[in-house]
Amino acid sequence: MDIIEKTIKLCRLEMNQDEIEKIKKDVENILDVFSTLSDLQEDEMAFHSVPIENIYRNDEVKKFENVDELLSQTKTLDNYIKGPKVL
Amino acid sequence: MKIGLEIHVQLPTKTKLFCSCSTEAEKPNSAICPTCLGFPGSKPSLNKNALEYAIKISKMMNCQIADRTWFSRKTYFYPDLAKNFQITQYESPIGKDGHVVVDDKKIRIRRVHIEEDPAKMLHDKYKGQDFSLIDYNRSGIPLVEIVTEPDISSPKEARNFLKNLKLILDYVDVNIEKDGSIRTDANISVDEERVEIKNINGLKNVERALEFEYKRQSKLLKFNMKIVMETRHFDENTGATIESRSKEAEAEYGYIFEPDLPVLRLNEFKLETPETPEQKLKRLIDKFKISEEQIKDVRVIIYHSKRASENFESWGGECMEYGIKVDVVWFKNNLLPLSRVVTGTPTILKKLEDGEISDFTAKKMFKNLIETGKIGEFKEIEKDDSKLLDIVDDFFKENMNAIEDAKQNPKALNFIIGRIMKKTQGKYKSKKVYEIVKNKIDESL
Amino acid sequence: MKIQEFMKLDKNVRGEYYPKLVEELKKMNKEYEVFSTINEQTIDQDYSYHYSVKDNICTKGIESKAGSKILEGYKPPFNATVIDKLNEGFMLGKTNMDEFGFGTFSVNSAYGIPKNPFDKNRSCGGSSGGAAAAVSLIKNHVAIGESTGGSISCPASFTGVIGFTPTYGRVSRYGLIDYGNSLDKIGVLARYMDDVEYILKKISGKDAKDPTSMNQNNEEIKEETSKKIAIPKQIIENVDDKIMKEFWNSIAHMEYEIVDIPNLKYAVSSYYVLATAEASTNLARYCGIRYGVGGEDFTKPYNKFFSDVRTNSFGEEAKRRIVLGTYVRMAGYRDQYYYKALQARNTIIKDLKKIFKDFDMIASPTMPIISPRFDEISKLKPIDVYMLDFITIPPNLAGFPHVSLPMAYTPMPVGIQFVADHWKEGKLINIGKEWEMNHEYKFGDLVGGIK
Repeated sequence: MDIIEKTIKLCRLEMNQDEIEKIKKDVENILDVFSTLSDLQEDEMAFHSVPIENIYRNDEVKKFENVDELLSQTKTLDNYIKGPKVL
Repeated sequence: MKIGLEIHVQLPTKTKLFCSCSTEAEKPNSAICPTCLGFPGSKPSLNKNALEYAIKISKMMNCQIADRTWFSRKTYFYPDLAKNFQITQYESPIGKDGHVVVDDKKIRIRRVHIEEDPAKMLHDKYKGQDFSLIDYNRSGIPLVEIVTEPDISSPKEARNFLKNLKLILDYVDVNIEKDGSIRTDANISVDEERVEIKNINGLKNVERALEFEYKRQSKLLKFNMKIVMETRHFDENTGATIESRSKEAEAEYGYIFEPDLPVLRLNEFKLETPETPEQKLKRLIDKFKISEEQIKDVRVIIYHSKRASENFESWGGECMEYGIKVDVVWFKNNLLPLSRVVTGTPTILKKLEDGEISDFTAKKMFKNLIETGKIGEFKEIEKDDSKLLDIVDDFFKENMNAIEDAKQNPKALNFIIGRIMKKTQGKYKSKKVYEIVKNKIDESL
Repeated sequence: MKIQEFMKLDKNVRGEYYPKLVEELKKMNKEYEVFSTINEQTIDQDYSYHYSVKDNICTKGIESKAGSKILEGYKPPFNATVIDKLNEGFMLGKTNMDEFGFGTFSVNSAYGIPKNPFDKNRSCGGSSGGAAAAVSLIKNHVAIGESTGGSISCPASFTGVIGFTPTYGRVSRYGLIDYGNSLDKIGVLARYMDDVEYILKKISGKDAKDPTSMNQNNEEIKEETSKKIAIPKQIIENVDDKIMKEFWNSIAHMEYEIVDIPNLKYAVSSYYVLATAEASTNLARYCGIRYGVGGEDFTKPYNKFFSDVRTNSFGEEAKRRIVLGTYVRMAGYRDQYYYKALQARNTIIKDLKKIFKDFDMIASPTMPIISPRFDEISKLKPIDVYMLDFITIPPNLAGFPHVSLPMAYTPMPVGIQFVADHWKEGKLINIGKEWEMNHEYKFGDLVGGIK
């Protein structure tokens, strides 16, 4: 399994052979362009475009007023949220 | 043998790491909100208190505190992960390159960082359950992760390390009594290959798991069989480590910087360095002028718990106010076992030291003080011993066999002394009563 | 009329107007597919104006699908902060968009492709295509849009409306369904600069629920005059001749200079690496539990459960970006792509900030082409589509506020882009107001209108 196929699996996506071939070509084209980034001289990393530092919140409880609404979005049993089995 | 530990400790904050939901909840899925449930459009917001705990723990473990730190996304797919990524710290932990000393051995701490706890999953709450049940109350609770270098060389050493860790956590007010509040991944290699035992709950189980694994690996080596590098989990009921059914060991987390959270400049963070047990020990030895022989007793108190050492310090201060010696052993025997502070004992101790009351009286008054919070009346000691001689004589006249019993059996002697102490209402020092009773017995040959 | 005029109308006039507007809208929508949801709730209070919202912004109790099948039927239990702030406005509906913001033509929408008011065979641009079309087609309207790499500017340029993207962090992103968290910005599309200004001031400001909005200062956005304009050589070299002709005509009266910013050539790569890397993690949560399209069979092994939902419900472009974004942050590739892209962002910000020392704004046409026809679009390769963003990407990557103003009609609309330094929205408001006085804007004007 080559790296693109491995990546597809990692994303939890399934593709047939044709789709894999197409996406491989697209990704290779795109990465070709991206690889020009290596030409750039090393610099510090900008995590945000404006400085965003030291923002915190006080440790005070605030209950969310619509907990029922949250649970009504999905399948539940005895107030637990149902999910796929994990061996 | 090399052992390394990765310990996850829940922090006792009121709210979760990235949202204001309570960390205490009874009914499943009751302390939840869009953020800890990973709803689209929700955003995280950092709990300052959790950050403070993490910095204090890092300092207690002698770590270098990062100047600049940030959060990372660790992406993998599992039903207990609300966003299918966990917000953690990858490139820049809050603390690193620390160490603790356990039994004169230095155990290096590779890193200390914070991350969010995943949700809790139940797999067999109902009979024949063929789906998962997920409770997101736990999703987002703050965890501190402490990673050691593989410097630990035996399961026993691991236990002592964890005991020491428990104390360190106590000293920063992090209590780990609650079930699930401390979970460990242990890496152990007896020979070359490293085996990871994941998600061991509580402290006792860590030693159990390591003991088992050590034996298992040793056995394999003895029979020239290969030890497979793998991940196992620990079964609390059987005490055995078991091969993990393949959870697709793709450790491909694709870490990126968490863009919804700020970068933290920790050098701006003004936080008192909490006092370590050793520092407190040295300081109190000096403050109370503790003698050489009593140092080991102070150590017992300091290493019992933060509460005990604080009680000791306030009690010692009281003693100094009354001008009496700080008797560490007395504290250790009488006040250490109590779970609360009892003030006023030095007044009793001073009277005892000055010979004004007997030790019997002191004990009674002390008991009364604990029960009622009041000191009560001092029953002064009787200075005249002549009356005591009569009382002892009377006693033996009434209990003819007592002398014979005492000669045979030393326990009977104590019993007699106890009876007379009670009869005399503690007016006499127990030492005096013992003297007189013993003389009486020796005389009657 | 502008919002401020609309607000002065008798409230009964407005009260009668809205339901009629909704009816006209439903008819129009069948043809133009601007809205994925039209708000048919009974109107129980007086609303001063009406606006629409791009469908990736959460509206409580009203479907918010971000153009994706995977959120079909999803009704958020909370409002985005911007919605709470616009509580005096009547929310007309949710506008169509490229799935999660992935696109330049709004063709990647699971709920209808908006048609250009000037030519129904052409795209509205993207990803806020529906928002731009709404402004052009509906009188007295403003639209809330969102930009990651140019998703407000591009459709504004293609449909002939104003598209205003504020500084990154100016408007709270709480409740915005994430594409690229370090790049997403909520902004405004409108017909008049006064309307943009009014709405912008309403939606801006610190919000504790979105830490990235907490860095701005508390001062109100103030209009500032701007004079000196820089025009990057690298940009204008790659624009259609016809568009360039209009551009030179339009700025003839302005004080400008051509500047050289060589590092701009890394902007597209840097942007797409960062945006797809972040997007691939943002989209991991969509897996059939908790909300949205649900998996049916819980007895499936969990990885298959996830794969089935995601494979069936994500569109092709979404899958492509997820795969790309996962690749560029994988161990072994992260250094040369993800970390490098972060460095490139820093370099480009520094270079552009140097320009702003000597110039008030940077200007160029907004897009290198006029809006293409749908059949032309289907022939484009993904990388070709990405490269079309080379003008809008630099300000978006660097978080600078920027605006696209209608510049000319060839006969298709063509926009001009002005970029200002961080937090200098006031300069853009000023140039926009001036520009408006010297240009006659044309709109589709199909729906609405107060006699």
